[in-house]
Amino acid sequence: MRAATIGRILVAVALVALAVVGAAPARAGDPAADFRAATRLYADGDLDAAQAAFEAVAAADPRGPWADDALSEAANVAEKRGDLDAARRLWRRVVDEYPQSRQSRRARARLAAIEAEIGAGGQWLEVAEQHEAILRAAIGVSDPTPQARALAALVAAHPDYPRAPEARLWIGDTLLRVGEVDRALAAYRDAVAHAPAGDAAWRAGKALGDGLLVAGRFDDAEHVYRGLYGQGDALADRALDGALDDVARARRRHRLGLAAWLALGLGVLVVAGLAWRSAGGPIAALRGLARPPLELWYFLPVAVVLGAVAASGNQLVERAVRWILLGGLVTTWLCGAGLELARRRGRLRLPLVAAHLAVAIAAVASVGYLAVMHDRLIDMIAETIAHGHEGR
Amino acid sequence: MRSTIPVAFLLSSCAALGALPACGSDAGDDTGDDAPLVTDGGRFTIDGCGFDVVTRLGAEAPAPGADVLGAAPDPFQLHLGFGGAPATSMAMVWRTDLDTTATTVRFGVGTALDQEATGVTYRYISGLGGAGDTIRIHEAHLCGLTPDTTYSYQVGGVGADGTERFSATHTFRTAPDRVASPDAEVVVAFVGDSRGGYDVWGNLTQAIAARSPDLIIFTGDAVTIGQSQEEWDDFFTQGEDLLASVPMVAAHGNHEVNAIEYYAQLAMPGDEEDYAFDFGPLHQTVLNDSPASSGDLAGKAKSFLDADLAAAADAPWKIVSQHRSLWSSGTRHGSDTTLRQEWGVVYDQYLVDVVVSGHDHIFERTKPIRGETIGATPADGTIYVVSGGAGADLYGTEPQAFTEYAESTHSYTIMSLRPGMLSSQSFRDDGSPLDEFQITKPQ
Ligand SMILES: [Fe+2]
Repeated sequence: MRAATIGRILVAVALVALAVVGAAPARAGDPAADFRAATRLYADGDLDAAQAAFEAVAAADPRGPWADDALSEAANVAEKRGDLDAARRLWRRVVDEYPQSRQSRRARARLAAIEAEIGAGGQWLEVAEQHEAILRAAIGVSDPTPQARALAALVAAHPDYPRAPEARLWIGDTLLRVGEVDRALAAYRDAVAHAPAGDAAWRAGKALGDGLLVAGRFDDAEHVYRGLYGQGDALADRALDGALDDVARARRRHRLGLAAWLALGLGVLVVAGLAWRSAGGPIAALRGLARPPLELWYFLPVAVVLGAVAASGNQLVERAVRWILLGGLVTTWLCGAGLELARRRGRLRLPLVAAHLAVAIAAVASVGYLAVMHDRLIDMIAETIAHGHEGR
Repeated sequence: MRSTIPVAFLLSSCAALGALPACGSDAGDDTGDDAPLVTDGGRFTIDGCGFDVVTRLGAEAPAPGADVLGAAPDPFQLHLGFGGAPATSMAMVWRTDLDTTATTVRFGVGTALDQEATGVTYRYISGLGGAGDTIRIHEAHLCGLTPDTTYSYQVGGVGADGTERFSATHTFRTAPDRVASPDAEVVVAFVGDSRGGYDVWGNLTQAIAARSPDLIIFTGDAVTIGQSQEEWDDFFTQGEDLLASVPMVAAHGNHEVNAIEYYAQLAMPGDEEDYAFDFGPLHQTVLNDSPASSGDLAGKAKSFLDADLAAAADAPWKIVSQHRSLWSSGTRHGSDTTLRQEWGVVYDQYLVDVVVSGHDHIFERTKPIRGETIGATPADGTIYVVSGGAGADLYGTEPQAFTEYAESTHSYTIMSLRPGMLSSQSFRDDGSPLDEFQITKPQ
């Protein structure tokens, strides 16, 4: 594999040498075929050989119709290889030597982007190349924590690197994505501490606020967002308005969620207490509650059908239905068994039935709320109410 | 040899437009401000272009630009599109105050601005139920342009007293002609679902500009409420730096709700819903999967798709863009199995290379898929890309068997196409590389 690559590079280098050394006119090759051969190397992922081969096509016939495209592809490949120096040199040649070509517009844009990355004098070339290499190593990786760590080390070693602000945000975003919330927040704080005033500072602050919101630290998130007003343009301030709305909503939902859990816990306690009273002791109560009540046999087929229907549709809906059915099952069972237990001990009295009813209602409401809160299904429902059904 | 096709000066003189009431001798006096606005739509045939500018119900009929400059005639929200073949035509759309009807483009090859064309202008009433502001649109189409050529241009107009108000000078490049330049490469940016996230969208457009694409395909849901002019203002204002030099066409998203704001502000080919065009080696098809009449999915749109792909059999690359995803591991919407049944079979039949959609606010690339069979190499089927991360609040992903890579992130995708090779790179909004793939074909 490696030998084959080296072999290809040697062939490509030989082609370049042949083209450069060979006397004019250009060698009697077929540039179209050579270009396609280079493209195949590129597609095969043999980037070193591909770049050399593209450069060879340009060198073989600099005034031919393939030269500008070949140089551009060589520059593209150099960027993919993370060789920013070569990419800059190649794009520069496209701009200087083929100013009228289709590629010159793109070459100018890439040249400007690369020069912004590596500094006007190229003083950040090495750091930028390491940065690129780390980012490329993280492509498609399910756990990019090692890359985040490597980039953190690089930025710590070069705090003045012009792309350090965006690198710090990438570290935060990456850690947040893999669930490392605390370390992500530390990365965002680092970004805020080091960001130069202006756009970079605003973005770092916004990212920190967003991270805090994800972490459920609503007061901190709100504090950060409020501190950013006036640092950006009107649109930035409107983005903050939206972020504060998000904080308020998240806080409200969090409180409601806690209340729902509390209601469920209380419900279980109430049912257990009533069962204890009805049965006259804890063991008898447990035994009574363990017996499936009549209601359950009505509920089960409904649950099975609803569960099956939900499984064929939206994932979020399916999950919510599953939780609601599970909650319904437990509620039906406990309340039903509790009532049966009481019935066996004598006539049902109104306060007892009312208590069971209250527990069942609270439990159904709580389970329903927690289920639609999960994965923000509630947003989808809210959107459907606001904008109507998507149709079909 | 480059042939110099004379540029058709559309609407160069009122004499050619005698039949049009707005082009009478008193056209200059009629700012339209006092006259009741009739918004029944209409059409205007563009000389030398071979197609009409059509406005829909909600907008007035297009009328040729006159010589009136209002109180605020400076062009804003300038963006490019096209109504004809992008190798030989380009459209400019911009806004001014209501009274300005002067609609002129100065343009030329390279840095020259030695040619001039007059466009059309029309108003529409924005907002839910037409309760919003009246908006003035200027739309000009240049036709007969030379393929694969960079032009400079500025838009604006000249008042009756000779006062000129023009925009800054921008450039654009026409698409290469597939026959004349069979090996030319084109670079296309795919991005969609910016709704509500216009700060992110602004950053993304800057990042896209650094990749210098030749064309932008927007996969729908630019705004949350199609009739909200404020949102459209944010969308076009944030994107103006990019959109004034790279043409953008869009697939209609469900949030656009077929609003007049969508059709009036974008210049796109055909009926602006289901259309197709060649862009160098790419045959690009765009479909509306939230049509006003849902029967169109299996009817009008499917018939169009079938005929279009049958006629484009020889195209080196075939890409379809639409809003909803036939295959998506997004937890919010997921795969649209109805569209799979209606359109997926057509994609399979004509071996569409890539389908790019949005709707789920995620990035995803599937494995190649044909029918319900998940393949291993691009020859085994169509690759489906969900590029729904242009700024809207993100949704979750749960990778499925068909998923090659999926991530809940803001992103854009850049595809570079030449015969034999399609190379795709996707980037997050922070510029970091997200995903890449290549497809090669024997030539
Ligand atoms: Fe959508």
